[in-house]
Amino acid sequence: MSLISELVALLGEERVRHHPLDLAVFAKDSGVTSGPVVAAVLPETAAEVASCVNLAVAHGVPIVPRGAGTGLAGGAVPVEPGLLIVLTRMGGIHEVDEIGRTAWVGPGLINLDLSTSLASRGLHFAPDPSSQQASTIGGNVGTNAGGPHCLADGTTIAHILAAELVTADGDIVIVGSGAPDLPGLDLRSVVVGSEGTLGIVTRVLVRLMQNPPDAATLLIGFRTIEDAAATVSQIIASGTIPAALEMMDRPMIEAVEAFVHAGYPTDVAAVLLAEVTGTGQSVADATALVESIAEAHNAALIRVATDSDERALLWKGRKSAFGAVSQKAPDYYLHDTVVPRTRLVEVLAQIYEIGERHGVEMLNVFHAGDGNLHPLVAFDANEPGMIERVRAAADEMVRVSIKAGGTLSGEHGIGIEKRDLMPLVFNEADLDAQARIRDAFDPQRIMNPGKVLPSGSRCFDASGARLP
Amino acid sequence: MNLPSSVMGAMRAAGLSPSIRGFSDEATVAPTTAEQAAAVLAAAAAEDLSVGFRGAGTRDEVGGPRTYAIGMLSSGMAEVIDWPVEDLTIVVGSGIAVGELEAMLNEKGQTSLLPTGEPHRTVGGIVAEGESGYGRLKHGPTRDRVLEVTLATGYGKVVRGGGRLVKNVTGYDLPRLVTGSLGSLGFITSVCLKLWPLPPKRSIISVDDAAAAYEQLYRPFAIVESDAGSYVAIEGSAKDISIQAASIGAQIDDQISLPTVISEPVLISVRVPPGSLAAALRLVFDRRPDRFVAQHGVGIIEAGWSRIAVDQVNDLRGKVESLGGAAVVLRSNGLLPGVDPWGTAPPTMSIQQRLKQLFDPSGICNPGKLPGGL
Repeated sequence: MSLISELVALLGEERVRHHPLDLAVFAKDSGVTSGPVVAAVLPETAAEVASCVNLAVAHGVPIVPRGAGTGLAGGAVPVEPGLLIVLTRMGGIHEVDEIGRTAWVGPGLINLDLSTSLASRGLHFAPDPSSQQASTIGGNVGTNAGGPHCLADGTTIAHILAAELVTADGDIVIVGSGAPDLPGLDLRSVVVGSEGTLGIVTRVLVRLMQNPPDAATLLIGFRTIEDAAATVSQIIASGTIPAALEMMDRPMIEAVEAFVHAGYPTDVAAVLLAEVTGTGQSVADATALVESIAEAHNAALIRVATDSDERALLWKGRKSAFGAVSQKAPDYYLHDTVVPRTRLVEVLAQIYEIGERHGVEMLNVFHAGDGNLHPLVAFDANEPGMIERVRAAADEMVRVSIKAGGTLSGEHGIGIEKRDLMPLVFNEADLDAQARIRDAFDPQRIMNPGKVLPSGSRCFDASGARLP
Repeated sequence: MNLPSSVMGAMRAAGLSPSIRGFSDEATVAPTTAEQAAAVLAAAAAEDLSVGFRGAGTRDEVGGPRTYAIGMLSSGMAEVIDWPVEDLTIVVGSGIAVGELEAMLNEKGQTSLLPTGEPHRTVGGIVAEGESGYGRLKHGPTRDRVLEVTLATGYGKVVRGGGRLVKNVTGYDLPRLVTGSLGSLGFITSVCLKLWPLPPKRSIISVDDAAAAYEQLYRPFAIVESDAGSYVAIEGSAKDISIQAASIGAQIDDQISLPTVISEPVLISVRVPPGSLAAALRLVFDRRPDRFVAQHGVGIIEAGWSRIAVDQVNDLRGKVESLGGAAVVLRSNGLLPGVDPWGTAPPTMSIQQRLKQLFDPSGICNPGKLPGGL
């Protein structure tokens, strides 16, 4: 029997998609790559996922897990003809422990829906990627997703206590635990952020955070990027880690204002969006501190919003950034490098220079507090030679970030997009060690092969030591 | 037993140290570079000689006391390698004492948040054990602050994972995996830690009902219930702290400090989902500990006994495991014969075994320390 007919026997026609139109839909994520799809299946239980894995393995067809397909690095795009296991039908909230502040949820649950449904209990899920209205918890686990509020609270890994995992062997196991520091190696640590290469996550135990009793959002305009960046560094050094510290440069501010009229000043070089949360007094203390540091760095404008409508308005510009860009040009390419916070200014200057030299339009909106840059190139792919210029500029931007002590990705993942750039950050021995981690979970390399690690990463099997 | 000349050569090149009684039956080495450590491990692997790793030696009993053919100390790697102060990160050799590190950081208004109850403990030892300090309720576990690790592996190579950045998803998270691995994958030679700024003030407040304080307060530093009393640690400005204390009807008394390290001969760490802490506390109380410290919202109870019967421990363990937790014997001084330090092995043993085999093919790195005898 063919793989497809066996899958149909298992799940029924409706949950096995293999018509050309379906295959085209599932061939790409929100990034720039696409790949060959054998079929896409929509399991509803971990047992069904395990059966799909067993069938794919028996037919030698690689497996690619997928959530909402909002990823930008190609993590959900098959490299060779693969079976897509789409987890969007496993989106329930199964158990909420209000005292322990945890919940077991399905991987297909949409990120924002989790926090929305917990609002009445005064709890939320902290990671808030820009895609949070569409992206799934399973996808967030796959990429170890971030977002503006990860500055104080950490990325997805800090909010995943355990995960149910269907392994390449078709076993269903739990990695991590609701209890802290359970004996043994913490496999959860490597499963989160593994982009589906170590198995398929079918249930997740998330950590929930208390909703803050109070919050304030500050919009601060600066005449120079240097002043904005120095303000960021000093705020953090002062003993207060704000909940979020986001920066936008002038081209991005102009695009946003033209799009949503959020009331951002268009006569400044950069705006900083700072959010402080906590008890009433701590918010008042932090607001005063941020204001005084901004003033000391020649802030051109400071607006403080404390009620939720005003705060939402200040955030509106930031949250509309990617929509605004699509009004400017039909295509955009979004980067995701990280540099030490103290190197932000110099790396930004180099990024502008690279954009200018390649004749591409650059806009910047980024998580300044943790040095996570998101240079964005707006372009028209139909313009002859443009794609090549965009790619060449992209490559250079990654290299200058790494040269400044930075790395390839802060929250989007490696996928296909940055896989072959891994040797810029890690040497042969480092990549070999990472390949060992993958091989411990998936020695047959059937789980999302061709992602994260460049081919040939296992370079010295057991050198200097005998295998038992 | 005499060590083979290949091993002795690598050890001499890495700097021999006097043997430490009770730790290694043979020679002890204190490498000063990761490459030296890797060379000793490669030579030891070729001869199937076990290597025990040691920082300050305060946790040799964790995972059960063992003896090894070779002892490897981190004392030769106790330097600050890089400290870009404004980035709030620091790279240190694994042998640096946590007290020394904290004193240095505090001077610049920063903290590692590592446990400092025993200031001579090494950073490498704390990371290898995966232990967190009191601020875990607010700031999360130590594991979330290990940004980069350099490891001399059991197959004799130096590998680096993670990066010196506070946010990073580039490749598999080796630093978090190595944290708490008890030396099973290799010898940690250096780590990059994420630092936090010290708060304007931290006060400790005595409370009657720790569980109620956990419900009422917004993200306190710690909520601790112990044999000496219940305490809440709050951070913020003086005014913020006094408002918060008043909100739970408590007074600030700057003379109070959080409970110190438990020194009873038997030390058991009970770890349960935080929602089950009250149930676990009752189980511990029933066995009349001489001392105990429970962290609300975290789910860890450390309890010490001058003596406790094996049956009592096994019974406690069974009940704690049925709460979804573990009762780990951190120290028993020979008073609990036949009691496994860990209890029931985790359900992912086959993957754990493969990881161990791939990072330590000859099984020479701190063998036997992990659950299941890995």
